[in-house]
Amino acid sequence: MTKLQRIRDILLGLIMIAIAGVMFLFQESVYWVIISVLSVIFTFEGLSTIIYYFTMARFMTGGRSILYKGVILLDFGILTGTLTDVPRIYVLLYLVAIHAFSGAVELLRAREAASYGGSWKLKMFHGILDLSMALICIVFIRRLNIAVIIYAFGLVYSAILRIVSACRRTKLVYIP
Amino acid sequence: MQEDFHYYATYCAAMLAGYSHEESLDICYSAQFVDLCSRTVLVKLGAPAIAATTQLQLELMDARTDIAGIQDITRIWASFHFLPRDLYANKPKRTKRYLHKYRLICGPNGDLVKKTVELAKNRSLQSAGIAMHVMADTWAHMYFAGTPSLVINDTSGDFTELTGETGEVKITFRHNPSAPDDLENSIYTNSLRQRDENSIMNLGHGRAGHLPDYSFIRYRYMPAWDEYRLTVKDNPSDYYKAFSQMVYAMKYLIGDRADFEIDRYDQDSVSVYEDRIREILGRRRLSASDDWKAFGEELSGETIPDFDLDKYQDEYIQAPSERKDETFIGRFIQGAIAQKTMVSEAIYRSGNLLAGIVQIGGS
Amino acid sequence: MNIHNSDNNINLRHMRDNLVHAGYGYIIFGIWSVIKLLMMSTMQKEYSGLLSDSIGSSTGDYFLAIAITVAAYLIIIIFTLGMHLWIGYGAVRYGRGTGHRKYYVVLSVIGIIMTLVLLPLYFWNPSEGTPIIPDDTTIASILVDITLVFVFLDMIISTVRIDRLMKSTDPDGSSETRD
Repeated sequence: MTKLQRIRDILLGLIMIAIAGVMFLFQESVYWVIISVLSVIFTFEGLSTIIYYFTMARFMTGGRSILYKGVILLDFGILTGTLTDVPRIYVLLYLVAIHAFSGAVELLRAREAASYGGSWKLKMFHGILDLSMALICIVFIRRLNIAVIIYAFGLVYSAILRIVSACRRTKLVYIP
Repeated sequence: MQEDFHYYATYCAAMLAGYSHEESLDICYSAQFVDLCSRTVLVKLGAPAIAATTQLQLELMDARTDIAGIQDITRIWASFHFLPRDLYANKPKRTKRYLHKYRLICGPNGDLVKKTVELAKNRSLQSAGIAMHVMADTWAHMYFAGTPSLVINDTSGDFTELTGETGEVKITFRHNPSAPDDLENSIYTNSLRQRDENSIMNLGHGRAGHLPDYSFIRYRYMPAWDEYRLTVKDNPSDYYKAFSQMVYAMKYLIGDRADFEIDRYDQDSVSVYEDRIREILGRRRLSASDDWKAFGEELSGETIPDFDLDKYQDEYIQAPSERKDETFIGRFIQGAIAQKTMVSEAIYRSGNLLAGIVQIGGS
Repeated sequence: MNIHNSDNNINLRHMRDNLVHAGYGYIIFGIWSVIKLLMMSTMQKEYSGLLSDSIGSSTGDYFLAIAITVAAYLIIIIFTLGMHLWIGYGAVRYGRGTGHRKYYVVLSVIGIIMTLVLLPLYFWNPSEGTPIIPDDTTIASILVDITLVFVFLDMIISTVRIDRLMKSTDPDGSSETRD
């Protein structure tokens, strides 16, 4: 990992912890923040996909589909920012879906790593943790502030992992 | 290419070029080791990770695809498995960003092939082996790039195997890495289509599965970069040229020839065995190792041991620090670092940052 | 001579691929427009408020109004999706060579005209006669509409060119060949 990557990861980890802190403190009022963040992410994703189409994908066979994807993502991102009456449960279900999907992917990666004889325990632990968080969110779905606390806890856990990984020493060889 | 060509066929080529049995074994072992010398192996040996010539599936799964990660991936794959053919290629109306990826498309007889072979001159047999691996792969992996790129490495889903004079069989792909390819029913495994430009699934020839690595197959497909043209890949012909060129190159390395020119192939030594070689290349099976091994043992009258990844590891581990460079793996590492540096620097000098910023002292 | 890579065959492949992608693109835009309608109706206060205000206050009227509203939504959704699927799949089939009807071309022309005629309404309120300053949502919607025009044009031009190329390809496939 380069120095720049390490700094970026540590900063990102700290930002995630800060966001989690805000979520712990403000709990139920934090939903509009989540929606705003989602809106920004999708808008940015849409714009970068459109730019990618004009700079790269229009030269490849079948590249048009990337333009369509970009336009829809952009529209979705901007629309999300204007939603003023989103039932909190929808936001929570979206977060649950992300964690469940992420957990399932990690478990599949752990299985694949095991089949190649690689280390799989950490991946499996991450996968189980993600799925457990999704499950707990569903169990407490009517107690929305608890779900926010659980999500914030997940954010802190991811942040710590990211910071630890950034601080790990890697072998460097200098070519004279 | 796979073990049958990198190990056994390279041995045969080395014998035909005039190397002894022992020298040929060193060369072919090094050629095959390029496909296995990953960071995982190097860390286990206590060797510099920068000498990695490949990335294992596990390493790729965890590889980052931010700019630094892409540069790391490109340095390895473009240097050893997808040597770029023309770092200054141009295509009209293309953006710079596109051209940087387009220029990494692999192909035989580019300037970098000449530099790769010349780099191995007057160096160790391990360097010769590395050069042979790189050169052979330019024939097998042509039309794909050693950097993750959807716009370059993607293909249409329609692959057609060309059989006999006029026969055509539609190839079916599935995404099951654990199942062997079914040659009888033309069912092969390839990578999943991922619409992310920098996804690992878009590295190299993943979208074509193992087709480029089978010497017997001729097929037609449409690469994403070629403006709806259909490309025919004639592996039996390409592999024959790769073999002939290896013999030609090794005659240069051994000192039989004064210079090495691209697009030149040995006729004298190879033509004697042309029918035999073409028969081996054309036989339809997953691995031609047995056939190449038999041919090699006939050439030398000696036994070719099976490739053993652990063969030279103890020698390296047990050697004192100041003597590690004199071991087999130590010499391989030096050759690998030289090759990676040469290619990465060439890419950087062409104005392309996909292999990172490379500066060599005094150049 | 490489028949597969004659100019005609390359262009034919290109146009067919364009047409297929335009067809699928149009279908996906149809699905998106339905999702967008549902999101705006249920999660934007100004629209969900309008809906609840328009529904009567007594129980009898209330349930009838709900039923009518749901029915209206269903009709709009089915009509929108149906049109998009019909036009989109028509283009996909023609692009693949499995269909021969070009009704989608006529509908594409109508689609372009309607989109262009209605585009000024993003900037001008005709009932009040005042200009509208577009916000970011409007800009995104304009972009979607312009892309749809692009999709329609793609369908029309690709179809015309496919027909021309099919007529001009000699039986032996000979025409100017590229390496």
